[in-house]
Amino acid sequence: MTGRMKVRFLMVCVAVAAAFTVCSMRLVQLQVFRHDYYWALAAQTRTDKETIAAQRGSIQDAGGELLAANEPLRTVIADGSVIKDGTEPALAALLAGPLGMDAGQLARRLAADDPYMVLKKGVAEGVAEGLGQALAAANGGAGLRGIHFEPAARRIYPNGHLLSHVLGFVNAEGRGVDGIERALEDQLRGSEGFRWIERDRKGRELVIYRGEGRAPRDGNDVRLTVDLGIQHIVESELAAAFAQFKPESALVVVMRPATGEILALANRPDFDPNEPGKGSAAGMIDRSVLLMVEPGSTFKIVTAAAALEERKATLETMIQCEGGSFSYGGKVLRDHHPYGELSVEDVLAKSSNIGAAKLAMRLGDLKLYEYIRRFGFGERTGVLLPGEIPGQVHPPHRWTKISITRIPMGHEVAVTPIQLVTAVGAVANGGHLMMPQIVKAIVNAAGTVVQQFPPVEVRRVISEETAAHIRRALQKVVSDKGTAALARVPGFPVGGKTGTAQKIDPKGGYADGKYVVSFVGFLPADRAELAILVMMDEAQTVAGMNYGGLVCAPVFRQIAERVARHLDLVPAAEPLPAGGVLTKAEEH
Amino acid sequence: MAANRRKNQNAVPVVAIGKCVLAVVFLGLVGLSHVSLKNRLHAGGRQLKECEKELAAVRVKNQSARARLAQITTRAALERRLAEVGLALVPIAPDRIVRLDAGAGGVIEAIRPAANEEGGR
Repeated sequence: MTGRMKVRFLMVCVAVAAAFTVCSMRLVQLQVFRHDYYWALAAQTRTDKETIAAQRGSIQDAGGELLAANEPLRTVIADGSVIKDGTEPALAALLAGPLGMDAGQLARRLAADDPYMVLKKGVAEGVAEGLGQALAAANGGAGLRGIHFEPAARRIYPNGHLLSHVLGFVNAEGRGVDGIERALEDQLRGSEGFRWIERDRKGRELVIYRGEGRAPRDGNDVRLTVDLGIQHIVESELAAAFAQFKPESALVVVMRPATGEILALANRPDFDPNEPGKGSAAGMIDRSVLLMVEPGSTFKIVTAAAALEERKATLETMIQCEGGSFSYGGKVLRDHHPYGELSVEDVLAKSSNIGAAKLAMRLGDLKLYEYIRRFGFGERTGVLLPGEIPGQVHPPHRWTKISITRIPMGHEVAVTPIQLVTAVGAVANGGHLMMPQIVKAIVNAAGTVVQQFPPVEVRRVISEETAAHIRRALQKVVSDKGTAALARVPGFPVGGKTGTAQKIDPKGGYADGKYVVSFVGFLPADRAELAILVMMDEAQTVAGMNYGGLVCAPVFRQIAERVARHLDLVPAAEPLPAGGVLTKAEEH
Repeated sequence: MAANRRKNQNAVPVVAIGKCVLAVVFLGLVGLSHVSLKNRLHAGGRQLKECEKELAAVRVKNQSARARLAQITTRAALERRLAEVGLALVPIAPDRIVRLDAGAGGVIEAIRPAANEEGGR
């Protein structure tokens, strides 16, 4: 080898070595220095984080009947890139009928090359399944390609309008917007699961390379205290009353006084939670916790209870009712009928404004205020319904000179219906103010109770003795001598109080001829199982008939009678069987 | 000696070849087993996926049926159905109900057939 050849050979060697060095450096750069970047890039193309949806929990009544559930649905998707030319008419003909679409228009849409065309949302599971089978069997058994069904779901409320204000509804993302759906969103929602998966070149999951993941946790079921049977009774009676009196709004609350459990709650106007968008704004308001009204004469229960508890009077104490006109603080207070002397029992039975005012004057403003607050007015009850307002009770230093005569008859204070029925429940159960409960328990997907809501006593308001006296007086209200004879329920002693409050005029003062009428009662009066409030705002009646005792008391009676039957409450006065005595044949 | 050396030099190294063959066969079997196991794993994975799909489908059907059942058994739906089939069901009048007084000590137990009491133990 000549020297020149050696040089050439050396140069070639150097060039080859340099080339290999460059390649090696590049490899080191790719494999070592940029390892993480390219590893992530590779992982991105073949691995995927698959989300596993969690089911929203259901809402059930006290007996386990479904009030809100999930209905699985499908979204029909067409992949234009897969649909073979010429098969569009056949596909359209097959899909049009079940999807309720026009075959011609559908065929034109299917002719596009778009790989993701939403043909129809909210298709029932059965329809989608039938279509899937038809598509597989079409084309002489070869099947038609390009259509697939994505899973979806919607929240359904099988009972429609029933209990709509308590249940609330969910938005398009499935999040609770109102009612229990909103109040217990965290419990109902659950949490999504996920897992890392790898796919082959056709996009199918390679199960053996399944990575880490987390199982979904379905939402918990919520069991309410509401009894759907009672709710149905209440709704039907309220609907009838709403049609008869055509008020601006009406509501009924049924509570178990011993525990504070709400057994039924109905509002009118209402809405269908399946289609909340079609509901009116007024129909969406849950007036039981959002309506602030002057309670009227039902508030006299508080005044009388306070006077008896403080031993400022007994049921037999006589009160001078001034013949129906009492001047105090430069204003005249009137009774509906002129009365002379009335016992405290009769002050309640006849609903004397002057009698109530004089009882309050014996108490004094501080004590009256103390008892109003002790009965739970002016503070939220804590019921698990969103948006509850506390009402309005001014402290004595903000009272006017005549407040001591107006507050005892339910003026100058604003209360919510739930506060009112809870307060009367305290009288019915022996003096214990119970927190109203709408939720009984929260149960997980496995059926285990994860949280219970036992009865909560807020405080003792009055003694058992005072409560018994007030109950006796309230029984007289529901008698021929009282204002609510129409609330009597055959077979059961009933206690209650009527309320007729003039509505406040937004321009000031009270609006002429506009009343909020109510009746709140309980039965059986001696061991109350039910406390029921019926309230109507601006009931349309003939002049002079718009009173709680005439409008709401009969509704109370209808509801109480049917609910007593539903709960199988044993009447105190058992009706005899037809004929009076069992015959021998009947005995056997 | 020379003949023996020649003979030994030409002898086929059976043991060595055997070892090689065994090693190759072993490696081949290991490879085939690996492929076979991989295939079986993939097949198992596909079956698992199919089972998961079936389970999901059953769950969906169950949920769908539950929702449907809830819809057709609401009180309003049942009342409509009652009206359709014309069953004239009326509530039992209070005067047609006879209540047995259980008494303070639950004496009503006494009228239960003896067989029931035995069965309850």
